[in-house]
Amino acid sequence: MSFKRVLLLFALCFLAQLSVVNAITFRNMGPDLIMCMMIAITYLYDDGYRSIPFALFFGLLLDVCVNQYVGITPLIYLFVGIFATAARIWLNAEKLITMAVTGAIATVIFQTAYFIIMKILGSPFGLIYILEREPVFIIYNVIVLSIMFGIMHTKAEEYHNDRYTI
Amino acid sequence: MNWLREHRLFTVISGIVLFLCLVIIISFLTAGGSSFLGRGAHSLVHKFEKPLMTVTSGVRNTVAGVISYNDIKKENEELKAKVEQLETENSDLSIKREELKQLKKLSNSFNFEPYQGRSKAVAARITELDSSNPYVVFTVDAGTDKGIKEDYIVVDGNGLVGRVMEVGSDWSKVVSILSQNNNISFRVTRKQSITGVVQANSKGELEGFVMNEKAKIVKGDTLVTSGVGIYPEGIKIGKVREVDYDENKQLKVITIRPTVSFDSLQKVAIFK
Repeated sequence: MSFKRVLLLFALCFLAQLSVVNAITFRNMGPDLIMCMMIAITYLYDDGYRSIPFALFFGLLLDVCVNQYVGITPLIYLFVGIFATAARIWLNAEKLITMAVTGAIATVIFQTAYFIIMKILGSPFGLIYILEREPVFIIYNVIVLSIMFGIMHTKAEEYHNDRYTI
Repeated sequence: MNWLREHRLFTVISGIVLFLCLVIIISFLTAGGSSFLGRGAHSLVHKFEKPLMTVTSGVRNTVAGVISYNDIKKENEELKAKVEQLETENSDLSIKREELKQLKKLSNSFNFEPYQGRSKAVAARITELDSSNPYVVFTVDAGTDKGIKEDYIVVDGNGLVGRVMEVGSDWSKVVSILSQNNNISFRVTRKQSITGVVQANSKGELEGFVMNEKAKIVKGDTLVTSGVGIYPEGIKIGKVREVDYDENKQLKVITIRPTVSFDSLQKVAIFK
């Protein structure tokens, strides 16, 4: 996948994350499009790990726009990206189920890490409160990942020789 | 240097982690404030997000309207009954209006200023909101152009929402009362002499205590801000959900459900 295409996909995810996604939320909980896009590209393309810097950039922008402290989201995206890259090496990346499981674990990693950092910074929320909401986030992210897999899997096969030209 | 070159991947990842940790620390020390670069980026994003959010809100409201048609019909009947009741009350209030005029004249003579000059409110619409985490922080479409400053109070029709944490040219970042550890001083509407302090708890609600342990605060009591601290007097905070006595602290501990529904916030008012 080319540099421009990756940039465009992440930019669209970022814009949709702050607006369009709010139309499909359940009790103010919704999917994380940027994280899902990063996992999907990492999984479906040989050099997909190169999408991680894009996720970091848009994660930073997300923090600047709507989060209490700047830098937490990209830091966790980095860990999730490393996890997805490692999972791709050990698991069968061609199957939807593996990507869905990776997405579910990535959601747990994201929420837990976010909770720990926010707790250190003085957030009043408790772990139980966060864990209670976890299933909804997991369901949303798995659904989004499945849709992305459905669309991108065919494209990835079609352009299997495509590489970055940075 | 050779070691760094040999372990390039490790060096790059460590560098990014250290940089981001530094950004988090700076952000924390500046109470969530962004740099000049951050504010510029936010202003740019805001220009794209504003029309997108308008469309999204429209779609959301239409879908919600279709789904909850029966509820709306029922609510309409209830509102009609309420209007009739209010019309009766209105005639009673007109008698008191004259009395209020006299009191206002009196307050002017004492140079009394309600809400310490915060009586004018600016209406704002939520333009950016990240629903991928449970921490309620959002951006609204009013900034320095409308005279908004940091720590201004944010409310909606149901009560206290939070405070402004960062301001841009045409946007402001708002943090909710549930996402911060600030104390909010309150009093009970039923009996104004009952006062206390609440703050966000770990369950996404508010928790606090009553100053006088013998005060008769009961489940269902409505709490409003008392005017002590940054929040002006009389803003609805929430309703008492539970009253308990903490023997260790020797205090009457209360749990409050906020009157504001943070799940469906779309428009807010910011107090100048």
